[in-house]
Amino acid sequence: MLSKRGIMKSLCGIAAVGLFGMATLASAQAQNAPGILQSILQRGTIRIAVLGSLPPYSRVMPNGEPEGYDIDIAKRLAEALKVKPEFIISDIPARVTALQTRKADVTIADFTRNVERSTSIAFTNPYLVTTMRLLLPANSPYKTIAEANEAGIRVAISRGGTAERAVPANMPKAQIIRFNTQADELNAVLTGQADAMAEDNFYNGNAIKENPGKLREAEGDLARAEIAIGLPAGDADWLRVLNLFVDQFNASGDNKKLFQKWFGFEQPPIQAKY
Amino acid sequence: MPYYFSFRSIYPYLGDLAAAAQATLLLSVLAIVLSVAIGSGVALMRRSDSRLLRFTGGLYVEVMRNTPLLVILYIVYFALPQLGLRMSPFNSALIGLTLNSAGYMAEIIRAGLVAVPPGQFEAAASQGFTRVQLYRHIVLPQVFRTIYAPLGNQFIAVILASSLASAVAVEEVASWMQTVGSSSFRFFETFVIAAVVYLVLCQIVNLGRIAIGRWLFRQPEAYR
Amino acid sequence: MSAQLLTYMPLLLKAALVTIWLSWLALLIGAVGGTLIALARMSTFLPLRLLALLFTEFFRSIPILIVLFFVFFGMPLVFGIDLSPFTATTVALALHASSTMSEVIRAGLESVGKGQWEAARAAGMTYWQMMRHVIVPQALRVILPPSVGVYIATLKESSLASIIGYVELTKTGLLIRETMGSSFVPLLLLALIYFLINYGISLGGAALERRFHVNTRLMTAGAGQ
Repeated sequence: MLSKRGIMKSLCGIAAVGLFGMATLASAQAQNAPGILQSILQRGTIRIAVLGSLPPYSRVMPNGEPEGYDIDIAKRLAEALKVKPEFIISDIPARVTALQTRKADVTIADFTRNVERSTSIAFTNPYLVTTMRLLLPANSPYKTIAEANEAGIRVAISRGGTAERAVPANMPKAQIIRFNTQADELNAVLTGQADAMAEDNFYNGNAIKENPGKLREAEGDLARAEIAIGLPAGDADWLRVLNLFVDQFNASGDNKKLFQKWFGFEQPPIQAKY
Repeated sequence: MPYYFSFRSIYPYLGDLAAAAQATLLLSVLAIVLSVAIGSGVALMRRSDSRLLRFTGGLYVEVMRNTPLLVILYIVYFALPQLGLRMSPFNSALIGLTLNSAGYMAEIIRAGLVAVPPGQFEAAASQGFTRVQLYRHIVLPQVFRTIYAPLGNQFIAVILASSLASAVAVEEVASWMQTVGSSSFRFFETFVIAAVVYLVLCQIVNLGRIAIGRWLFRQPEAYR
Repeated sequence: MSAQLLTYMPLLLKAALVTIWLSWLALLIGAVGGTLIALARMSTFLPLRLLALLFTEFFRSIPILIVLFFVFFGMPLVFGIDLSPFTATTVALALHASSTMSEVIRAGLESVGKGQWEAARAAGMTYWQMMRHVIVPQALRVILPPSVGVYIATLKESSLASIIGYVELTKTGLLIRETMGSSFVPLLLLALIYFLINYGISLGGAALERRFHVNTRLMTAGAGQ
């Protein structure tokens, strides 16, 4: 194979990628989908992207069934629309692509809303407000985020999550290690592969409870986060329905009850105090 | 909403891509070099007179050929620390890739050794060659010729396999693709770019192999 | 092995069957696709040859992870086809397997001497008669043993489906790890299950090799992912 044919093959390979890239570009532009609400009602199922390993928000049991706070919200939503829920287990990157590709009708996955993200997908009003904090091994020498920063520790974060911005902003000296799932982050902290992880305080509380005596939180906040339901951009009608659902879910006290069930304490207020 | 491609949003991340491509390349080159060393050892073990060594070498090859690399990487990075063995993501990935590749390399090198006619070993011994001289002057040059092409293929295989290092937090091209995709929300652009990077890396190796092969094995038509 | 792990064994076994089935399906589709591509590669029509070459070289130079991402996330976007994780994984693995299988099948077809092709033509056989009665029976001896290697490679590659969240063997093992809160035993068990399945398959392959007197290990060399 050490011949002209080999070189030919190489050139062919390079040409292939070019062709395929152009084909992708060309065909992606020409597409028009019907309204989401309409297709959900026609199908009789709503497809919901959820995270696979973020207890108590959501977790997939080894038998493949998901459960958790976000899962219960999804079930309420399906109930309200009188359709069946169909769960798409995803990770941090996949919960976005699932919406962009319309694989999912909504994402209910501890999803923080912000303006940058809303340029490519849409968000409802928030159903939860959380604080991102630093989770450390119980025997870690660092008391505060500032101390941990000075030491230049290794912080595990979710690839492409809100921690991508929040950690470098608050801890410029920290070394960032990226994982696809929170389970991998937690595992890295528990096995000493990372010195800390940045996750929201409700997740942290649960992790501390499930690993008694092994973990604690550092003092100080990394970021405030409004958790909302995500949906594909450009469908105002669908957004209208979802916002009404969220508003009533918050106002009726259902949200408080579900939160108490999964987190074991009372839900903090959702409204920001300006 | 139809999806509109916008490669412009990727521009700010292209600097990271260069670093990621370097990491991919460094990881693959080191893994190949180390796996040639380990693979040679295992190949020699499998030709040894000791039954135990033969068995161990054979077991190693079978385990590595029959276990997914992803699982091996997970074991090296997440399970070994429980035995007190802690390594950086890069070193963990390097070890996982090397162990995996050495399983294949051992077979490639063994095939190269098998291709050397047994008569040559005897002839060299009767000429008073030491074992080192025998390997250095007679066996290795022939083995190298036989394994040259499969070695190139293995190099490409390792580059592709290094994409799994993203699962254990190494910042290589596949990690870049996923991180930038989730940060910019421009996944498809990053898929295309990452695919092109891998394709170019693999084809550079391919063309390099052909060019160097031509220069090394100039005359005999048989080795083409 | 802890008692807790024992309760998960049925789940792991079920997941192992999913993995075996998924990769078997991918291999079958890959064999069909590979045959078509091999025939295209050997065709006398240049554009067809080039197209087949493009296909094999493309899938030989792209990590399966990216192919999988494309199929799972890209297909709905580009072609409006929504694929379940199972289908997406099968398609991605089948695409990759077609490219490998086409090389295996081509080697098999080319192993049948030129004289036989010519003799069959001279005897007045049509293309399909020649393939069916002369070429394929001989080529199969060379094709079958390395196909076993492709099956093992595909089975190992199916572990990547865990990254797009499909609950196959690897993902089940990782979920059990989360529930148990310990990495070591579940991960080692996972490796052992894969090893046992693949080693079993490779023993079958070795038997085929002995039966057909061919050594094929090198043909399927390459660090499987």
